[in-house]
Amino acid sequence: MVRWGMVIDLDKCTACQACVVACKAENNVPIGSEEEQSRGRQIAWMDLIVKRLEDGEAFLPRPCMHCDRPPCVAVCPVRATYKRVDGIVDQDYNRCIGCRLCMVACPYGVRYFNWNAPEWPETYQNYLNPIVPIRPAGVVEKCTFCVHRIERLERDILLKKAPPAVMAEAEKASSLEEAVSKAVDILMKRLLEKGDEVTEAEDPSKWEDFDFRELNYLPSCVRSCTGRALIFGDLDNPESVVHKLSRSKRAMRLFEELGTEPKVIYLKEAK
Amino acid sequence: MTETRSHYIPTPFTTSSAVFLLFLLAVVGLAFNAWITQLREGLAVTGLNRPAAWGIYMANFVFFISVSMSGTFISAVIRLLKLEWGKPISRVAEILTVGSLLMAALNILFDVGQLWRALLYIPTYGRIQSPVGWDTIVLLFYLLMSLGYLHLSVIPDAAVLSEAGGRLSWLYNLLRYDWVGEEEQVHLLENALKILGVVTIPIAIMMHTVTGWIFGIMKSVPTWNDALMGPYFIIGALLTGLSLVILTSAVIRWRYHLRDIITDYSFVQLSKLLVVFSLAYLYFLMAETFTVRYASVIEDIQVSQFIWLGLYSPLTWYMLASLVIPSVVLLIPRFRTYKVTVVMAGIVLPAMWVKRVLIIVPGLLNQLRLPTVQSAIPQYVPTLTEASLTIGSFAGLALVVYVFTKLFPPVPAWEIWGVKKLAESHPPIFSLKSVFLGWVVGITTSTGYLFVLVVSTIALGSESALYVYAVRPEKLQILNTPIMVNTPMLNLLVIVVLSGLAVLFFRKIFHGK
Repeated sequence: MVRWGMVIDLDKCTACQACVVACKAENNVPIGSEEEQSRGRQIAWMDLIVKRLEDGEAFLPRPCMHCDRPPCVAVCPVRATYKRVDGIVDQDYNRCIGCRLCMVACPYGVRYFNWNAPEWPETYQNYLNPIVPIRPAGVVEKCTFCVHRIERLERDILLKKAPPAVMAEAEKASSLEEAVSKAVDILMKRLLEKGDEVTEAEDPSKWEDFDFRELNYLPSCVRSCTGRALIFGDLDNPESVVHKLSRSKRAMRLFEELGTEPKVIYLKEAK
Repeated sequence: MTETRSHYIPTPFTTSSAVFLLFLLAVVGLAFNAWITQLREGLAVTGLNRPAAWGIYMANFVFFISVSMSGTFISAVIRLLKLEWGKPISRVAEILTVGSLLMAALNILFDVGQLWRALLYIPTYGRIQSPVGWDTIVLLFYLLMSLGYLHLSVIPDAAVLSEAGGRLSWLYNLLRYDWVGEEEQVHLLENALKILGVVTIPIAIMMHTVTGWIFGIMKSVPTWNDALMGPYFIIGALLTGLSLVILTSAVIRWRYHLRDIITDYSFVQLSKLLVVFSLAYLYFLMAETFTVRYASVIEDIQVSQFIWLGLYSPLTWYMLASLVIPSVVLLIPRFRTYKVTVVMAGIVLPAMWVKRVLIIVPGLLNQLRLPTVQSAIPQYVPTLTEASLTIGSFAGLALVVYVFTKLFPPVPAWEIWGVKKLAESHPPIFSLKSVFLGWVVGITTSTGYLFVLVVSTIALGSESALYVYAVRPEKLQILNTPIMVNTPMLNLLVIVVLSGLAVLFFRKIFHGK
């Protein structure tokens, strides 16, 4: 069974906020304004936690934790938010009634309410992502681990349109879930090793190597991380990078004492 | 005879009452306008934000829910314990319950982002494990029960009024059924009221417990996750409801010249209740504050500091003073008079509204434990829209009470001046027995249905119903898969079977007599 999770290596994070911007662009999150920001109405599925310390500041990128026991799902009166079997806590924008119980229930503050209808500058209109729905006023929205990208990978594996290296692994797998899990891991390892260099250095027409666009099967924040600090994959797959890193001695999770069992794991060397 | 009858007839509709009615309608109209604006422009017109996702709409909701405790509960207790001094205020209490439950429901509708979806989806896709589900169910039950209670207790008065004629006699005729004031009918009425009263008490207790649990189950918000919440809300509700009953009774006594009916003695008795409840509330407040401050969990203590010493501290100290003053003053026997009681109730009531705000907002303002780059400094300032909707809700409650007292006697006349024998006028559509049977069967059926719904959701819905609703990715397109117990056909079947059983059961009781 797939159990999507993310590892965030704080020792590598440069707090550049590329993930924040990439997330906004990918998921049609309104850009917002200074005024909205000051009123506490800014939406940022991926945001940077700022912790003021005695010597400077500490930063943590914060997506949705996709808890295994999500308090937001328990309180939703109409099942507008639910946990998928692959562990992703998803939101049904057409079902949401906007009661904001989930916002109050979430200890991580990852749920955002659309106080007004989203707006973009005129020039931006053509660059909205057509795959991700635009949320109306009065509903709650949240990070989905770019579920549309994972679903596209699933579809491409089924249609045998995925990159050959991915397909080769996928054909060996016994189920679609296993295939997707392995495919994501191959892509993730590829991103960690070579990143975007591939298009420059090697021949893109040769399908043994990846076209850099293939890496777009990974969540937008992971794909865009400049320090390669964000790592995505299947926590239940013992071969995967995230699985290994999640067993690291540096691993910790936010508010573990609340029993929400978050699937986002932070890595930080003790001082 | 004519003198007694004059007590039944509501006071005539004078110019001053028209002015008052117009004033109330104007305030409600302004609030309605504000609501339309909010529906058009979204909740952006309010002061709500993140992390203060709930504001004074939620405070109003909790406040009106707690006002509702006054009525049917107190009235049922008065009836069951046969307290003579309580009879004159029972009608006021009942109508306050109905009005405040309506206002509570409205305030929760002000608060949702998608009004039409809320109205459509909660009945069709509602889930038992959500606090909203519990609250909707209990609120509807309590409203049904209060309406039933009010309806039954009005029948004998409506019968007298229908004999008097007038422009509204069609209404009174409709409500009297075949009431002629026979011994047997009085017996039947009192029995039915007793049955409803007994059923009301657990429902009223659950109503306030469940409202407290909305906050009690939230582990994410500091100071909310507290086992005390249920009992705390019950005591708060008793105090709030009682003070509003005292105030409303005093106004009615003054405006309708009922000095001899709602006697000073009634107020003295109520003042004793008031002092007990306010002392109990102070005790709960102390228990809550002491445990939080002694244990000093970092986030809880932050909220506590914020409440007692921070920005909201004037409100807190005002609230505390408003609870201490009545507790001290009313403990002294010679202060337990009509005037002092009314003044003390007037001090308590606004403080209880402030307390509702203090429960909700400070906890939420400290809720964002993870301040991000894009989150603002936690703050909450209500806007004009929120204020006008709040004032509008209070005016709405006043309107409901006012219109009712202009249509029916503000005190249960048949209980005070005795039941009058009347001649039968029209052949009624329903008999009294069928009305009683209807209410009792309706309430029994719905209680039974609810029980079946909850049990079967837990039993048949497996893990999904209890905690997490998992959806397989390949089935993601079929988002509307209802769990079995939520299908309309099954619901209908259960209702039919249960009402059949209930009719059989109650026919036996009523015919056995």
